Amino acid sequence: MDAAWIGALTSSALWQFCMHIALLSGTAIGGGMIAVMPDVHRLVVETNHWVSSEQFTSAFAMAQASPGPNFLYIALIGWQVAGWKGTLAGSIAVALPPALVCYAVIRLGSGRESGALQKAFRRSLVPLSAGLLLASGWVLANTVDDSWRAALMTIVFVVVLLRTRVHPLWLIALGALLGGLGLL
Amino acid sequence: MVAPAEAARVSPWQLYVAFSRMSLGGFGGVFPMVYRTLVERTRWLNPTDFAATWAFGQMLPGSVISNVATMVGYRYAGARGAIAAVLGLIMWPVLLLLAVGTAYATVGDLAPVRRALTGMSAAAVGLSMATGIKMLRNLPRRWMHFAIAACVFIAIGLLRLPFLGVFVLAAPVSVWLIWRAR
Repeated sequence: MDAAWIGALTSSALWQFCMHIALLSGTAIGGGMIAVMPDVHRLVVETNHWVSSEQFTSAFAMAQASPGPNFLYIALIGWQVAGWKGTLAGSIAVALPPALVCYAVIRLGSGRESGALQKAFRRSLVPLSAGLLLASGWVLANTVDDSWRAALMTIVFVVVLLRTRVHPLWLIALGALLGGLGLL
Repeated sequence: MVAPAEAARVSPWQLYVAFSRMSLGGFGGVFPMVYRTLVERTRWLNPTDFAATWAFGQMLPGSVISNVATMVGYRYAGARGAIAAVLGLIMWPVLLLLAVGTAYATVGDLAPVRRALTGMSAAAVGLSMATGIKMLRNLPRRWMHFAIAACVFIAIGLLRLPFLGVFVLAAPVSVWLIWRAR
């Protein structure tokens, strides 16, 4: 039997992408795929040059503007790595490992709420997750906010989101409008 | 909390439909939809169960919502329920994103589209940062919470260290600090 096709498969961008995403999604405690976005960015933009930084942030923004869980921005990055196959395989790579871990944990019966240590662990995840989210925002901002007007808009939107209960989708639509009109 | 219910009255199909509806209704974050569906509409979980399930989902890898889907699906219909719930959560959004990806490949290079996407991205960045700040704001005001968040931000955002290494180092320190300060 010729093993060449195995070599061809495992050296393909799609395979490498999926394996790395599966590893990240299976270990991303404290915020999921949004929190490990800097690692995803390094993988697909900086190390392998599968997508440009602009494509990366566009994929993230388009996924935010679509219905569905946030972690599916990976599906759109998959599109840019390997077309529709990348979307389907990337979705499996991002969704399956955490589901298997979760399933294993509940089958092993440790799904009980107990103990002060467990509580401390859960509470300690909150500042960790907050730091991860801010880091993700920072890494994206470095690509997106290359004009002072775009940076200013980001800052204004942060303040608006903190001060009001406006739905984030309105701000994304407003961003598209301002950008489309060439104001950024 | 997550053991199969004594009387499983929810079929995998019902789980699939419910989670499909939640994910398609959830623009920019599915939490409000999930709470409304699981607690208020179907009453599969009471508020206490929901909080416990959500909290437990946060301690596992991956997004909370997909962990909640796995747990709720398993609780009501075993492994088939878990598969049905997770499939419901991602299937329709993925199909939609296939269309979005195709559209992007076609018109994504046009100047107005690129400019609009830049604007959307700048807004999405603000969303991510605002969520991080909100999480910090809801914590009790202790210096160590801010110190932990700042260290993680510097390590990952500025120094660009890999997530897993930072997490393996930061999580035990963070647990220990918060454990000690009870």
